[in-house]
Amino acid sequence: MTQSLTIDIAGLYAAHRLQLVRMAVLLVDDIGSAEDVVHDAFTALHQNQGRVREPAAALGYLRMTVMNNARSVLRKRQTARRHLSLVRLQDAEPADSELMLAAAHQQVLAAVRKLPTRQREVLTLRYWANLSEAEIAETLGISRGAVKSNASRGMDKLETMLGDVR
Amino acid sequence: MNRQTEDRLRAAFDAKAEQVTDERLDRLAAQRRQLLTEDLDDAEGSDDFPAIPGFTDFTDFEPVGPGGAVTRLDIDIDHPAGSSRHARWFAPVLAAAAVIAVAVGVAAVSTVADNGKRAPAPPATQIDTPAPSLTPTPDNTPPAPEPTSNGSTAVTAPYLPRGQQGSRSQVPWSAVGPGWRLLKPAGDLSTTLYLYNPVGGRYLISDQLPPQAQLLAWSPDGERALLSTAGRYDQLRLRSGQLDTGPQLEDTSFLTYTQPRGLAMLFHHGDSAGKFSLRRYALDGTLQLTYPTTIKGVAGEVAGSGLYTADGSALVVGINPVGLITATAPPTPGLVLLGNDGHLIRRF
Repeated sequence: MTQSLTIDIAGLYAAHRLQLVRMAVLLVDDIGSAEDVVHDAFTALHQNQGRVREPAAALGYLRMTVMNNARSVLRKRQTARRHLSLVRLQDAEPADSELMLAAAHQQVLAAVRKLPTRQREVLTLRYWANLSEAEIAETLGISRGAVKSNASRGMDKLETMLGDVR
Repeated sequence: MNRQTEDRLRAAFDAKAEQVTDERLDRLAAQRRQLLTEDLDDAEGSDDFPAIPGFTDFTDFEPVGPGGAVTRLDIDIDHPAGSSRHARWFAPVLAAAAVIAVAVGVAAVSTVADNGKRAPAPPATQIDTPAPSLTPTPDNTPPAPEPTSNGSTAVTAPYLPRGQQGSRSQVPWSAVGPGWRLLKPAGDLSTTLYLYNPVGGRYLISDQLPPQAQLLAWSPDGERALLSTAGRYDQLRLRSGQLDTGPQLEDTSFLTYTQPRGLAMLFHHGDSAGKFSLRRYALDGTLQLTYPTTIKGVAGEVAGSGLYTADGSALVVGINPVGLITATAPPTPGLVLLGNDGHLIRRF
């Protein structure tokens, strides 16, 4: 007997789009790229519904796709930097957004941007999305041990950059 | 792990993430739709802004986009009401699979109906003609909205018909966006500001502007109009009509609001010694940054003009080839992209 697995994509979009864009913006910094990343993730879900084990797994699939897409955006930016004649380039915040974030938050986010992509991803999923080690491992496609080590190394670097006392 | 660092990280993440709101995403989507619509209009060569009652002569027309530079038009407009631009405004534009397009369209319609948020990017205008006399016109309903791909129709905003005037409280703020205009009749005695909808109906936003105030810009977030009176830069809150007295800035000329919300302003400043610079001020007049006049590695000086990227992360400025002109080879002015701290990102 076959089961009819229907994924309510419109419902998922209405319920989770905002949180997914927020998660993406913590990785790619600008809202335009974050919105594109999430939009592409929903498109991919639509195209690959048959690969999702069950409707309840659709959110996890979306989260994983958003992370992969965000990583791709960052890779393309790095490639662009290598090939353009730039004196200096940084992932700049809009002038208005700088005004809206407290200086302390700006300092922390600037430090996070300097972390390797994987460490940044793990810290975002752990400290903003509040995912468990197992959920982070599944989202990123790495082992739980790798989650622990990336989290630990990322936090150590942050502490050093921010000058926080143990 | 250090608990202090964890707490700081969580707080920073929350603050950053909370900047992303449904309203901001809707504005982004509307901006992208407008860009697409403008591309289509350019291709079709259309100019479909409807006639404004009593303002058929636009010889001294100075349309000012929200946060943008002043331009002049010398044209005589007399168009029928209605706008294909307006109809396209309601059309779903996202390029995606059919199911995704429906899903986004459902979410978009729900957002418009529930939150009533739209991204305004309309121009502000000061015109040099007497105030118009309003005459009743035939029924002027907005164009019918285009159906979405699943057959349902998008929500239509109720528009005041052409030639009629309403109060500020009647403005359908959720519908204000592309095709809407702010207009202030020019002249020292005029103290009124109107908001016109795309079909020519208008709303009185204020009749208590400072005498001799010049309308300069409409903030990118659509909430404020910038007025200048003898070097003082005031902001009128459009929804309430409240006028916020702004800073007195000498030897300056306004260029643009910052993007994406207009929480700061860019000015061209010239001192008595003839030196010019670009300066960014907060809305309270606090000087945030004086851009460098010269840039290492770039011949020439920064010109007195600037345009923010849509996301506000960088500023495009012109480079004047001062001192480089020779009899045989006049240099070509250039463009550079500067970050919000004034550093050079790239040369064009």
